[in-house]
Amino acid sequence: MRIFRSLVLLAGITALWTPVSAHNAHASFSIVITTDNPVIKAGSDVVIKIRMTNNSNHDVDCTMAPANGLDRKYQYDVRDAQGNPAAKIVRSHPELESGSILPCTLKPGQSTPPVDNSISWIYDLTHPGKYVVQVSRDDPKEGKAKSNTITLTVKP
Amino acid sequence: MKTLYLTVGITALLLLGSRPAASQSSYVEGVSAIINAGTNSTQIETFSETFETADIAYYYEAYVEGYLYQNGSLIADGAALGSPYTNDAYGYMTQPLHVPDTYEIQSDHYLVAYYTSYDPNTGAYEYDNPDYFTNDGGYGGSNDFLPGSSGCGCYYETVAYIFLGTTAVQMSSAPPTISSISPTGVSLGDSGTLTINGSNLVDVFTQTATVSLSNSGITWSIGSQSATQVTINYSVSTSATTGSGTLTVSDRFGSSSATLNVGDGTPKVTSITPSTWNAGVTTSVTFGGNNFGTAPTLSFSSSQVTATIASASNTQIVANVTVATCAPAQTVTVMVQSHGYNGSGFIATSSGQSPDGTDSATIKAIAALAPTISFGGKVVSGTTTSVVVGQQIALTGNVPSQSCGVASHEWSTPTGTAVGGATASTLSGFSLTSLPSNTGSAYTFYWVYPGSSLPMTYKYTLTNGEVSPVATATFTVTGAGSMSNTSETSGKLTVDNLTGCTAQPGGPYLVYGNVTGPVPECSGTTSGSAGIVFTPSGAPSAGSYSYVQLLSTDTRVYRTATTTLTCTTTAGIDSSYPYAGIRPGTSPPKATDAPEIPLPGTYTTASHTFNATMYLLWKSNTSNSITVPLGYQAWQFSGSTTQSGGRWGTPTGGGGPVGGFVSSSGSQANKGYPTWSNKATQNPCQ
Repeated sequence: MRIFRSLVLLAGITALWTPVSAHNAHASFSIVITTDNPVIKAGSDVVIKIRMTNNSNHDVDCTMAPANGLDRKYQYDVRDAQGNPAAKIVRSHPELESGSILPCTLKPGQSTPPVDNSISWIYDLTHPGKYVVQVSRDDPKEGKAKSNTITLTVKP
Repeated sequence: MKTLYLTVGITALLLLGSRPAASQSSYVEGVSAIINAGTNSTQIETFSETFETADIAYYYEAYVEGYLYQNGSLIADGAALGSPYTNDAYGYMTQPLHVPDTYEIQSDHYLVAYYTSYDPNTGAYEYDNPDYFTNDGGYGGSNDFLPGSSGCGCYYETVAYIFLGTTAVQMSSAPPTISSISPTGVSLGDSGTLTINGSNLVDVFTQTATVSLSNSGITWSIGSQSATQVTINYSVSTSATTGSGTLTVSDRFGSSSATLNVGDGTPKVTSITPSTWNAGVTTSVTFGGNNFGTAPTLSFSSSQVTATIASASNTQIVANVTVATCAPAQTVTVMVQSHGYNGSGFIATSSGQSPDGTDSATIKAIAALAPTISFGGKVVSGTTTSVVVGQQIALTGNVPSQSCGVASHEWSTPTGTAVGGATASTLSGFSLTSLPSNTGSAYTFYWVYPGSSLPMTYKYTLTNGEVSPVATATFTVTGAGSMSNTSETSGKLTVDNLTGCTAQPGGPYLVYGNVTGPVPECSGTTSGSAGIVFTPSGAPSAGSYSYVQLLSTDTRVYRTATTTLTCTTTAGIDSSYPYAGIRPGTSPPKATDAPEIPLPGTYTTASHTFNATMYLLWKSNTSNSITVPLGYQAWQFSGSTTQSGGRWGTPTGGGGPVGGFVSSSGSQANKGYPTWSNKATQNPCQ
């Protein structure tokens, strides 16, 4: 935890919303997240951009499953300045969430365009403070990749 | 001297001192007169007379009485009787005169009638000289009458004064009084008429005015004269004594004076040759006129005009006039300032008199040269340039090198639908920028839609106010095509069993399309067919298509035997901007959609109603282009499935396009750009 916190702090100081690193130890693809708005007013939608790149020499699936402005194919990790997971928004009937399934394949070396994803759909980011965001994708064949982290500031 | 003449019996007129020839031989005349030579400011001399011709004098003796009045009061009188055989009775009176009193001499005129006598010696009546009778002896006629007595030497004599009438003449001794003169000043080298107004301006005897001027160098003569107005024709030499002088009108009773200023005349400019001067050029100009003095100076209403005097006289200045290079076209007031004739500066003849004479000349400005318009590093004015929609039209106005700087620029407003820019975000939609100010040397904008022969004009204004000719560049804007749509499942819905993963178990989904692969929350390869596929075409040049899908209806209804759960979605942008559902490997990129809803086993039926509009956008690869809308296609589907025995049945319903492709246009809202202010999000099911 201490190491993680140090990494988070380092990311916050040195890069803010610019990519720092991607954790692709065993994945054939990488993920980079960015944001156009690192400082957000509390209550506003919080949007990050996700860009996936095929680092392998074969096709990699990049299927999207957007719903409510968020691609459900990614896992989102949002923590506060202390490293604690941000509160998730509890919705009724999550099992009935619908969306679209948009097949996607990345050729070797290709990247998806940066796609907006509204993480405030799942996380309660209405409380002022700094939040560290990281995105991951777990493909049974290609491995799991974690994105860089970005720090967002929610202001009153 | 004034006279009044009375004639009796026989008409005659007489001027004092010189009798006119009588028109008839016998007459009597009366005279009242004030004597010119004997009247002055201290005394008055009058004359009264009764005169008769000699033939009458044989029978009548002239007699006159004179009365002199001062302001209506008698101050002196006298009478005169003609001597026997003398036909003239007259007398003079001299009295002190007090200015400005009024005097009147009245004369009563008489004839003394015949004497009628009876001479006892002759026994006859005789008519004899009355004077003889009066004196009773002496000479002429019978003089031998004896004193009257009874019976002898008796005689009769009768003396009768026959009053003929009164003559009178009145005279005022008021001296001249000047009430005004005009002008009050005269100018060196000038000539004209000066008018003196007042009273008693001419002598009562001579009816002439006596005028004097104290200033030297002025020649003059009396033009007209009356008691109330005298005009003087004057001519002032250029060497006349300047300053305040005295004009005096005098007569025998006194004088009156007025101040007459003698100074420099106001210059008058009567000609300027040439009268049009070119900016940036030195021109030899002749200024004609008068009253310039001996050392006039030139000045101008514009500081952009200067002059060097080459020669100057009282009537002409020759100067080299230089107009500043960037002087605007204008009318310039030329001012000639007199500094007098005598080296002592300008001496005004009246208060407030200007030493300046003015006229005007015209400045012809340097014309603005024809500009050109550059686009993409090339001059495009006078040509037609082909561009594509959304391409940045960055125009530059090229001003030829010239002497004057540019004060302002002006571009025409683009015809057709043009914007100053367009940006978009997932959360707020498209934001269009208004056209920029058209007053810069450059003008950048974007045409959103196709058009032919669209002109853009440019002109500029120099600091001298000259407006350049207009440069025109013409553009033809090409559009980027449209899109078609297909359904890979013939508009059918399917129930697809998707695989699960650690985080999420698999299960059936009602899909507008037909896919295989993991559930949305699980990664893994997904393949299959989309319920709708959009294919663009017609791009004129290198560029990229993109899409925006706006969701208007997304309603899911789940039922059990006893309950109904309805889930709705707030309208807005579907997923993100730009639309993320691009089929991999398609060029031009195809947009697809395969909306799905999960089919939990707790429900027996599930239905899905979906309405959306897919917008096709395009952005040229030319640098700094903006995304433009090409059109949109509304589409929908509606279907349901029922679970029976743990299996969901084949869905009913279907979908497809609603209407055809609608091309965007500038007349649509937001100039045809898709509009949204939020992303489409699902409301709590209830």
